[in-house]
Amino acid sequence: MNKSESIYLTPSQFTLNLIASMIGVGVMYLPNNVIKDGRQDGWIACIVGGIYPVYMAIIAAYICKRFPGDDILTLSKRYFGICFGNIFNIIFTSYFLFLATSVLSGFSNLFRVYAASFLKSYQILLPTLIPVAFIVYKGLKAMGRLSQVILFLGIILIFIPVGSLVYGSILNVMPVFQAGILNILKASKETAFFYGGFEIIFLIYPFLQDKKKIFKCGIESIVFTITIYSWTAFLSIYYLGIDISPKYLWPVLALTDSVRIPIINSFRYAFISLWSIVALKCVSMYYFAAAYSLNGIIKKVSLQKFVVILYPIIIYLAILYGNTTTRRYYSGKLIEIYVIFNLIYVSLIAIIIHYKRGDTDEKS
Amino acid sequence: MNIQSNIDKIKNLTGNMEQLITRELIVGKKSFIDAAIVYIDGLADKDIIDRDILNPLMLHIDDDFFNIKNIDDYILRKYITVSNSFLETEIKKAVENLKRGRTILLLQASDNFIVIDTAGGVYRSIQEPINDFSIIGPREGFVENLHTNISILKRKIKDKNLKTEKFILGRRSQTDLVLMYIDDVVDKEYLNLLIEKIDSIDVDYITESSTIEQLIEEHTFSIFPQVIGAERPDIVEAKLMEGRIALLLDGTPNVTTYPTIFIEFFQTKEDYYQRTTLAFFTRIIRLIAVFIVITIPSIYITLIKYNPEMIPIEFVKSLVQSRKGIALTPFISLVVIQITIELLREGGLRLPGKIGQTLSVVGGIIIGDAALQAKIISPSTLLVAGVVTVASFAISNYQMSISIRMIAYPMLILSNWLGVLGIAIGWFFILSYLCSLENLGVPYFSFNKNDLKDVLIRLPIWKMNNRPDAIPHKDAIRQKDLKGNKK
Repeated sequence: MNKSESIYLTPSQFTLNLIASMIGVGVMYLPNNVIKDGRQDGWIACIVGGIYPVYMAIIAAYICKRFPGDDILTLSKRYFGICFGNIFNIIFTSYFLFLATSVLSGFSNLFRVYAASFLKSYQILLPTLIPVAFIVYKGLKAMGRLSQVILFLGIILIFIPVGSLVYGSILNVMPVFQAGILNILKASKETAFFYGGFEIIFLIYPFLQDKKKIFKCGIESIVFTITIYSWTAFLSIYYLGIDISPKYLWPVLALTDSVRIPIINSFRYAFISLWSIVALKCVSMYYFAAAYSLNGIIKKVSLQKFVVILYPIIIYLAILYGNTTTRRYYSGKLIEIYVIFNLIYVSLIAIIIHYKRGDTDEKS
Repeated sequence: MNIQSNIDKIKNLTGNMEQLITRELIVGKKSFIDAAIVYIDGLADKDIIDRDILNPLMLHIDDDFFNIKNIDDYILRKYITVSNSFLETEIKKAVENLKRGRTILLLQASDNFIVIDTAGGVYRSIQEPINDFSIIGPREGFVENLHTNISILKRKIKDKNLKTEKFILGRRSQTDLVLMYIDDVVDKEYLNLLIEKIDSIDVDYITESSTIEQLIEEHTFSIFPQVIGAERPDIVEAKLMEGRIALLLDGTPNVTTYPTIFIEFFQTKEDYYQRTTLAFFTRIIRLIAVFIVITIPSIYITLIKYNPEMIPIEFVKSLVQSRKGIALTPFISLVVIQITIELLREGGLRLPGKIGQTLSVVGGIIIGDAALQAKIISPSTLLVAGVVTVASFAISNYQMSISIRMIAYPMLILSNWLGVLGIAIGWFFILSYLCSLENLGVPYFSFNKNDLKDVLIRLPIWKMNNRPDAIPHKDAIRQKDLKGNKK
């Protein structure tokens, strides 16, 4: 029951929002990225890659403990000064804008290939973003509830490829650890894009009902995501093998071919139609984060107005990515820069907070 | 005090209505005092007046009232043989009682009004509701009389915490409204919000609970019904037990309960009377029905128009053959046949029973057959429309069934325009919209882990130890852990 006017999220909604901000369209081709260096141990790289969000969760829990009512935008302005603080915040905002557009563009590419080849890119993007903008416009509470509903759909969908266990071979994943620790680490670096989005925790923790649970919620969401990622990577390697998997643009979709239902020729079609709901929820999280942080920088313009303002911008940027290959190339390059920025940004704030112990939260 | 002046005042306050009957009488053994009774014809039961007021006052008085101080109180205590009678000092309150079928006794030398409960009048007797019946379970239903409805509920729930709160709504109709809730279960904050909303209602008249719903709801233009009503007391009883508040309005058997959440429209009381596994099955069927009504027509359009490669080859042949020579596109023919079905449904609803059936069956068969012969639609399109119609009747609540049917149209347009993408974003929008709805702060559609035992499935009664989290309440524990105690 959520009677009061103020927005807050229950721990479960908070966790699911975090999950929704990580799992999007990327999971469909994640195995290829880890197979490149990690070979048949790629699935282990997915687990190792989880260190990045765990680090973020630790920092978030620390900041939240000290300043439960202030998000990172406020803290950044307070400690770096209005000018530098805002510059950092704008970069942080652009990160979410990048994720939103990248996932949306990925979604549009995937959809055009498998389900709606008769539509042009902008014809997919324009109507798709409308319901996404709607839920962002309605705010975080509604999004929390939506995450809860969609998670159930997501869990069912992600376990559908289990049928491929019958056809694959365990030899494909053997021998374990052959790639070597160094290659696994290298491969885990590639997962940054897929764990990206977790940084939204720095924006939404003031809305968590029970602040003590922030770390638990964060870890829960990370463990869930790690499970899903390593599960899909493992299945791809197990079913397709490390040589065939990279030949597919979206290997996980190939897994769903193992499921055959009589009334439809290709289950991929049904699968991506259903998965698109999960992907759209992911876009909505980034959309929200971008609009929310813009609102944090320019208080005069409401979040709702930013939702409307961002709509054409996101469409335009999403079109710029081009086809699947160029999109992945640019996303890969950009995410490297952003991950380094994010690490420095949040670590700096945490360090400053640590050494300025005298300060306390304005609201507490 | 002059009796006549009091009678005049009463007449004024009731607007000089013709049905206002005054009967003057004199009471006493040897020395007499003047008295008069006032009642409204049709609302008061004359038998009671004759037997329990006039008879003792006119025939059985063996007192002279010389030395008696509070003569009104004395007469009330000694001679009025009606159980629910009392003294009223304010004329306005006395008149309010008069309007509700009570009789007022006026006495010379008294400023007070003796109010005697003679409420009568003819009401429908308690019957099984026509629109709300079940195969197992109690057969009684609410009636138009508020007091009967309250008594039905009070008979079912004997807990001392069952509270009633009375309101009078409508400037002109002055209809009674009673709020019923269980005091130690209901969430006070929500209750106060609701009362605040009800207090703010200022209209001419109110005849049905759904009018109140429309006046206080937050999302006027929402496609989904936001408050559920029931004509069966066992349903309302169960809802009260979960911390909801029942609104009983005089003059209607439809009792609404607040707050209402989305999933209630897909639950029936029989789900709880039936065996657990059967209830699970029927619930799943209902949800499948929702999916069919919203999605099947649009999937059909998408597959035919944009993705024929997805249809198995054997099936494509027959589909193509059946579509030979049909000028209309599948989309248009599907919309046409759907609208025809809506017309039949709406027509069948309003017509009297037997003609309605004729219209539905004959109209449906003849029009369907003729449309096929005339090459307006293909058999497969007709099949889709037929399946959807049948499915829509599996949704237990009529209002919700219409809402769900309505959603199918925008979905059809979306799929005709965008193919399967239209269906995907349509569903995303429906879910987003449902999640964004709130009524007085209570989410309309939410997923609580603990409530899942009574959403898609219905777990055994002994497993449902807690009240649903979706409904605000003070006391979460509903029952003792029965099976746990057995260990």
